[in-house]
Amino acid sequence: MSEPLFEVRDVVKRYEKEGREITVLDKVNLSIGLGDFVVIVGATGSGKTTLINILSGLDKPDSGKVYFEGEDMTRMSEEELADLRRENMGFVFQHFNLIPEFTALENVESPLYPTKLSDREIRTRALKVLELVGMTHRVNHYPDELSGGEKQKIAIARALITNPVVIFADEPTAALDPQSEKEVIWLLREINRKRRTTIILATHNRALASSTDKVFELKNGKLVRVSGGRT
Amino acid sequence: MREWDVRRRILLTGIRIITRAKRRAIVFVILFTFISGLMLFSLNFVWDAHSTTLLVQSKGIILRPKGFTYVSYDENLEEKLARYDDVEKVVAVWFVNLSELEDLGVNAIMVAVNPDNKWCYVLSESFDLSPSSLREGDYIAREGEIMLSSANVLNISKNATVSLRPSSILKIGKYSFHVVGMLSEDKLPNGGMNWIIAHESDVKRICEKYGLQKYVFGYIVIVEGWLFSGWDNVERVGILLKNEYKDFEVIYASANDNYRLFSPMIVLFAFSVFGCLIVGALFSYLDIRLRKRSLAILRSLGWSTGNLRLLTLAELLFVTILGFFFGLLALAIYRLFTAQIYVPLSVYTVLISFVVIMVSTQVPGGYLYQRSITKVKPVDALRLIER
Repeated sequence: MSEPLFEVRDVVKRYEKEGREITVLDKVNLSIGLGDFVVIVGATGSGKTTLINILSGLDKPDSGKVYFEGEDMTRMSEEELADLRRENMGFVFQHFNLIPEFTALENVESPLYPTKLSDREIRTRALKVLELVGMTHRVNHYPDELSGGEKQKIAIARALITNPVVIFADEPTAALDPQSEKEVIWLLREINRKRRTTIILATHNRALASSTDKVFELKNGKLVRVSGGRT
Repeated sequence: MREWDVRRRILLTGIRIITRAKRRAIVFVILFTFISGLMLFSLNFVWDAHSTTLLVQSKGIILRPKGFTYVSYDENLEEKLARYDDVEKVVAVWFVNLSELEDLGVNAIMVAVNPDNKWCYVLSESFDLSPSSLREGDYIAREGEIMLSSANVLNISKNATVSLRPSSILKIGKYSFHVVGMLSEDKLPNGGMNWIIAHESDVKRICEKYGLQKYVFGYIVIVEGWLFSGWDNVERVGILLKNEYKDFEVIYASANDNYRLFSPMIVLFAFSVFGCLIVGALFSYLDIRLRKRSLAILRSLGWSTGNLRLLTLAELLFVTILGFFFGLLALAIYRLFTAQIYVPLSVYTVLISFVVIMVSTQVPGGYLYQRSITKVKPVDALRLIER
């Protein structure tokens, strides 16, 4: 069994919508190991993004605990969480979230700008990950000059540049055509296989999961194991 | 790698971002150019004009012997004038006649000038020893230097004709003088024939050494107060002098209404400071509003609020500095083609304007950034897009 990376205990998250309180996550428990390929499936609005935000420290739960490598994330300050994200986590979003003013290369480099790595080291790393995702021919293009699939590959390269232990991919293929969807999922699996990077993929498309993945389903705020993992 | 290198990288990233947001950058650079130009223009007038001909024109009184002749130099009178209330300083335009002593071998009058008061030596339109009359070379800056009339390069000597140009040497008695500049003949009485304009200390030394008589063409009385605003003082002191010194003409150089310029210039300066505050704040407000998503993405990628503050401040700093330099350029172009009163722009004015502009843009801008950036939550990156 893989060593525990994330431990989620009794996490509750509520939102207020039109004067009504909605429980998006209701006492969610989850354990994710290093090198796991985790798929969280659920309908739109089921709370997948909320769960990913909480796991990555982008958002905080109303109650419950989230541990990353044994450290309680719910007790960390915003700045500590920023450091944690920069050093350990990568993000791939549905709408790519590339910075429009940056070129593809600069987008990939951007997570390392506030670090003490030299300019040369950052450039070398960026070109290496761009090569990995097969995008070296588009380094000087701005996001609006790229196709959806290309944008997502740049976003994956950006997620990889910090050598993260985990990559969060929130509906990474929802805005892509079938061919690009296939390429992106293949790329994520390759990264998981070759680098032993934990991938946490949130999707509404159950067909993206393979038999080796840990698959969880979010329904009415509850997380239910479908295959391969334990809740 | 040092912390400074990280900051440098973030600053450069900010500059890169703003240069790519072309429309916004251009609009704000134009605004800052306009504001900087106004500030430089107004400060230049209220500050630098103290060291120009405008000093006498705006707050000077000329006390001249009736008939526009010369009289013996009365140093007691000079001291007495300086003791009046509301008098800032008194400058005597005095000289010695070298032809009184044939041994000196120079047939000329030697007018004493103190370089510290050089803008005060204006007795009339055609008697102006200030730097504005300089046609060639430099103004006297130290002892041992002299200036001549531009029409008087010849016949300085009584016994022989000499041709003197800037860099020539003239010997008077045992003293040697270096010609540094030529004053326009139109600005000197009789074209400045046989005139030598020398440093006050040199003239005093020659005077004492050879026992020459001192004469005075007049006294310039500079009253207290800001330029272009001291009219009340000028009038009050002028009436006093008129009543007390009947042998002298009292001429108000400020009668040309220049003093009226002070208030508009102060208003212009205040307007430019206010403009900086508003435009700086507007830039920051729009920056945060238009780029909230980008900032939230960077936050989600691990950038700290300090990093984001530096990034956004770099953008504001860049457009402000660029606008300032264009403002400087605009002022120079304006001067070249349209300005009627030329007031040289001093380094101090440029530095003070720069500091005032920087402070008045960065403080409100920085405050807005500080307030807004701490509110940028990384999760906004996702929510903004979902909307």
